[in-house]
Amino acid sequence: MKKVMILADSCGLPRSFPEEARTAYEETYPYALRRHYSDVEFYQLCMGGVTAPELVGQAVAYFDKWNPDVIIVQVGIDDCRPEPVSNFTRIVLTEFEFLHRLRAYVFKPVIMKKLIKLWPKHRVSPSKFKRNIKKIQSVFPNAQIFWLEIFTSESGGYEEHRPGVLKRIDQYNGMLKSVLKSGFVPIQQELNLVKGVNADHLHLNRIGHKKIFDILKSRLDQALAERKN
Amino acid sequence: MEDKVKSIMARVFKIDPSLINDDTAPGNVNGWDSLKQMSLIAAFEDEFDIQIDDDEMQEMINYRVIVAIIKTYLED
Repeated sequence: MKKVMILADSCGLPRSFPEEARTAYEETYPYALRRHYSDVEFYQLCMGGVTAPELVGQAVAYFDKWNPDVIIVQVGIDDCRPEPVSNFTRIVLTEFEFLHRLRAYVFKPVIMKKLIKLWPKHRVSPSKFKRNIKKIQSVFPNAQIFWLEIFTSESGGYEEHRPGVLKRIDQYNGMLKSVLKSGFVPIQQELNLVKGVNADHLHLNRIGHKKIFDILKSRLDQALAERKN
Repeated sequence: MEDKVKSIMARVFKIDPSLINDDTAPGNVNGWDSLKQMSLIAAFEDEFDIQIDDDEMQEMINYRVIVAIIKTYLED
C-alpha cells in the first residue's frame, strides 16, 4: 500500500471564521485527498501557527522509519512573516498574564507595526528554514516531496498588518524552489484566479481547498503511478 | 562525514564503530541516555564546528537521522 504524509499549518484545517468563508472539515483538501485515494495510507498532521522546523521536526522525530512515498508540505507563512520582537521576548509577553494583556491591548494595535518597520525580526531565519527543507529531503530520501508555495491574498492586504511580508514570502519561496526544484508546487496564481483565499489574507476558503485538491491530485496521480512502475 | 560521525558515536558510547548502522539508536546502545546525548551533541559541535539548535537535539534519535541533520548544517 502506498503511503502519503501530509504536513500542514492551519491551511490544512477547517475554519469557522469569517462567517462567509466558513470551511468544513469535509471541504479541506487533506480530507478530500484521503477520500479520493482510498487505497492509499495517509498520515496527516496539521496544526495552527506552526513553523517549518516544528512540523518537519515532528516528522523526523517520529516517522523516520515510516518511509512514505509522497510527502505534502504546506507551511512557511509563520516562518517568514516579519516579527516585532525576538522569539524570547514573544514568549515572555505571552507567558505572563499582565504582559499578555499589555500585548493584546497596547502592543499589538499601537506599537507592533512601527517595530516591524524599524527592526523586523525573524521567527525562523532564512538559513534555518532552508536547512529544514534539506532535512526533510535528507531524512526521507525515497519520498517525493511536494511543498506548496507560501501564499497570501491577491490584494496583498497582509502587507498592511506585517510590513515587509511580501518580500519575505518571495525570499522563502525562492528557497523552496531552489532546493526542491519540481517538488515546489506553485499555487498563488491559481488561487488568485479562483479567489481561493480567505478575507484574512492567510487561509484557504472552500474554493481554495478545492483548487489545492485539484493541483495536488494531478501531482499525486503521477507520483503514485511512477512508484508502481 | 559518516565515518567521523561513527567514530564520535563509538567514542562517546565506547562501542566498536563497525557495530554502528542506520538503526543504531538509544534502544540498542547501552548507556545512550540524556546525558550521553548531550555529550554526543557537544562532540559533534566541536568536530564539525557547528551549533546544533536545541529543538533538533531531540530529533537526533538514530544514526541515520543524525547524519541527515549534520549534513544540513555542513551544507549551510
